[in-house]
Amino acid sequence: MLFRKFGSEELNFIIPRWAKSAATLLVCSGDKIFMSPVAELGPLDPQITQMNLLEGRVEQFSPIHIGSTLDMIREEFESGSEKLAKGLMERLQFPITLGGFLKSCEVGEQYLTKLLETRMLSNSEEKSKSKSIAKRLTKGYADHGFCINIDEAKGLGLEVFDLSEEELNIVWELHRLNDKKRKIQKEMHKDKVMDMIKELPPELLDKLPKPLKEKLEKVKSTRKEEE
Amino acid sequence: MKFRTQDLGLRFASALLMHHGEVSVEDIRAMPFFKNFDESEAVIKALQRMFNVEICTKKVTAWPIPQWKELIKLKE
Repeated sequence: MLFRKFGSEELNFIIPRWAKSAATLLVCSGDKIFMSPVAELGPLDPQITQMNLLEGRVEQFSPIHIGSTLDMIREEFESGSEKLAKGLMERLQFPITLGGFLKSCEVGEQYLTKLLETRMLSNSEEKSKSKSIAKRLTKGYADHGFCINIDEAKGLGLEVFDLSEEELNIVWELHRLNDKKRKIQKEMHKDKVMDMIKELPPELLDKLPKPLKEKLEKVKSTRKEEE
Repeated sequence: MKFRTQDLGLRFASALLMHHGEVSVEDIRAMPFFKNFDESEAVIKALQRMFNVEICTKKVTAWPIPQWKELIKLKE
């Protein structure tokens, strides 16, 4: 929202390498997208993470997999093994939960449509395109990791442009400088913490809470034994 | 060696907490005694176990992008 507020005239996004998933939603909020030859966008189907209490493991899935699972069960009922279909049915979620997961795709679709219509596809002729693009990006790809390169993005109807070699070099230089800045900031923070430690009264280090003292003593004695 | 530097980190983080009454999570992460993120996180968890503390947030910048820092604060 801040980008959109401050980029009042034109808001462009440059993608040197990846802007997948939620980042795809972000770049679609601008006027133009500039992509390098190796840059990728990604599908917008939400990723659901939940704990499977029965099997004690975390599972991650996309709501688009629910549709294909239901199709698989339907096929088994109609022309395959009814026993297998019933077994699969028993392991399915509570219907309202399933419905909620399926609905979550529509949330992404609605957000994307709205964002596209406010900038990139704001002309009345182009507005109709936004819904089909949003539908394609949320439900049209089989896997969340699908590579949407510059040609695929152009094919979708997004306002995508190539980055020239010169522009790409400038982007990499900016990236390198930002990386350098972050490293310097990290070093400065480290120095600040070390200064704070140096200012500590030495006697304080002996007034440690009992559990910590015990732990340190234990570590010390284990080390002595090892030596 | 791994235990020694991590223990040192815990020792100094505890001392900072006792001296100032609070210590920032980012300050603990910035200490040069940890080899990786897990080690500093273990120290943060250890502080929560060993002291009567609460986690609170403090606003660092307000405009244009508001930023907060996470603090481990001794309960009064």
